[in-house]
Amino acid sequence: MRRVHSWLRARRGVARLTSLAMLLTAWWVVVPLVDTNVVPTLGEVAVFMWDEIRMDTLAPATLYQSFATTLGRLAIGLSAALVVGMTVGLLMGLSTRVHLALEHFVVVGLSVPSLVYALITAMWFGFGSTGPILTAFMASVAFITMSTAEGVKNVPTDLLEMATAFNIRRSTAIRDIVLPSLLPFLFAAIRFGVASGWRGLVIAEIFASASGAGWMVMYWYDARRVQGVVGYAMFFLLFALLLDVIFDKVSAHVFRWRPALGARAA
Amino acid sequence: MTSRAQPRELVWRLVGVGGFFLLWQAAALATPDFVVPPPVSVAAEIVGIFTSGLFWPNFSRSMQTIGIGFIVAYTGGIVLGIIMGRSRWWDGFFRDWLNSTLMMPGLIVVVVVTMMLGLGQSTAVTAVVLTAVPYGAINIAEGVRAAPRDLLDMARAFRVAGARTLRDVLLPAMAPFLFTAARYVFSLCWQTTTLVEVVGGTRGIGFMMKREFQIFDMASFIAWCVTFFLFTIAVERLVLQRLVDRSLAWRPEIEVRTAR
Repeated sequence: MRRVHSWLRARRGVARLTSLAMLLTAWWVVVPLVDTNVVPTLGEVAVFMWDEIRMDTLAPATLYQSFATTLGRLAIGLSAALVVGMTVGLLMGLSTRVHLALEHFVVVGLSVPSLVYALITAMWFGFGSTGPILTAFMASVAFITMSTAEGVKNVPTDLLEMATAFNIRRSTAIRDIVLPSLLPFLFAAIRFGVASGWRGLVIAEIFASASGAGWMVMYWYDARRVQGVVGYAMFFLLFALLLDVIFDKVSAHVFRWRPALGARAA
Repeated sequence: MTSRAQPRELVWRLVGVGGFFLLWQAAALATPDFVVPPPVSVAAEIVGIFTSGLFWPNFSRSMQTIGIGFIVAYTGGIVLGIIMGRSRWWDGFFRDWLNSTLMMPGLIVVVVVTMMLGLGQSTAVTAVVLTAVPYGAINIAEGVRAAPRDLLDMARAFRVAGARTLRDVLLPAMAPFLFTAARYVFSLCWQTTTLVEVVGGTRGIGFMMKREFQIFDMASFIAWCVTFFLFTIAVERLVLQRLVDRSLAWRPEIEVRTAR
């Protein structure tokens, strides 16, 4: 069983590598054949990325500086969104009245694109850090609220009743019943919050900022350097993959007690 | 859902909406009009959009992009999703790319595509398809995997025709995933469409939003957003959600969940 499993995983690994190799080859072979200067060759992008990694850049900020700026903004916006979203979500989960009063706003908030927040905050606060931070906050807060509210409703009432019947202390009940059933929802909330906050932040930086990783894309776009735009897109990709790996690891660790999820994660 | 509960439910919903408008009005009074315009002037702007004749040409252009993008992206998502759901190899082959596109800010895709293809409508459709396909594919792949193995085996054992298996076993099991995918793909389609139009459009709702943004006309900007997003939310919630509910009415456990 274990052997079959590792074989399948290895085969999946082969598939992943094949697809990567095929894309790179296609890029490497096809682009020089098409006589165009708007699609960068693999070499141009690679050179650009390597230069950026070595901090040898024409842009006003290095790769590390701009990602640090963006991540800092994401951290501020997301922590605020977590605090607000979880508080409101708890209230919504516990009280039907609050739920009824706020439900529409959460639904609308989920569907409003971050672009709107980015442009409005840009009109309000100009091209500083406030706009992007607020956009990251707005882009993630609705999902965190909804997820927390769902999680509270998901707490098994029968187990809670049993805990009351057996006179189990409140703190123990919260730690052993409420938290474990809330945790997957919180985790989903944080994961999705990071993803959508990050996307919103980049949009805000592109339209309404003069620093950060998103703005760098706009910088190279305005400079008409396609390899810069594609190179930065690649950095975003690598960053996204890194985040994904981290989340998978953390999730596998946090949910290792759950047989079903653990099996799927492996 | 007793008859006694309904009026109270309405009351609390109204409290939420009323509170929101009160806050808005208060903020409008406390700040100059170009920072927070009062609800009344936004409403006037919305009326203005419809009476000025600006609505239809821009709206129809956006809808065209959304429509073409949706058809291509949804079909592509279904094909990819079925391939990925049936084979672990292809799942591994595509998974990284789909995940990367999911995490990639849509605007980056838009900027790259705009640089490569210029400012035409093909740019818009390409960007829409690129950003929306992963949402479709991943949902459909989950649906294929959720198909009841035992029922499929039974259908094969009793030599049920392929078309009937598809209609009576596979489709009912996959229906929720198909509809979820449709909702995601649609929502991605209109979001990316506005993004493309903001970056490099010459017509369309996004283009109008950008114009109002550039002349700092907050009331008109909000008016365009509200008009368009109310429309899209209506399509998502009323049309697509209604379809989902109807197609799932036979499933007792889902019905209980939507009723709550």
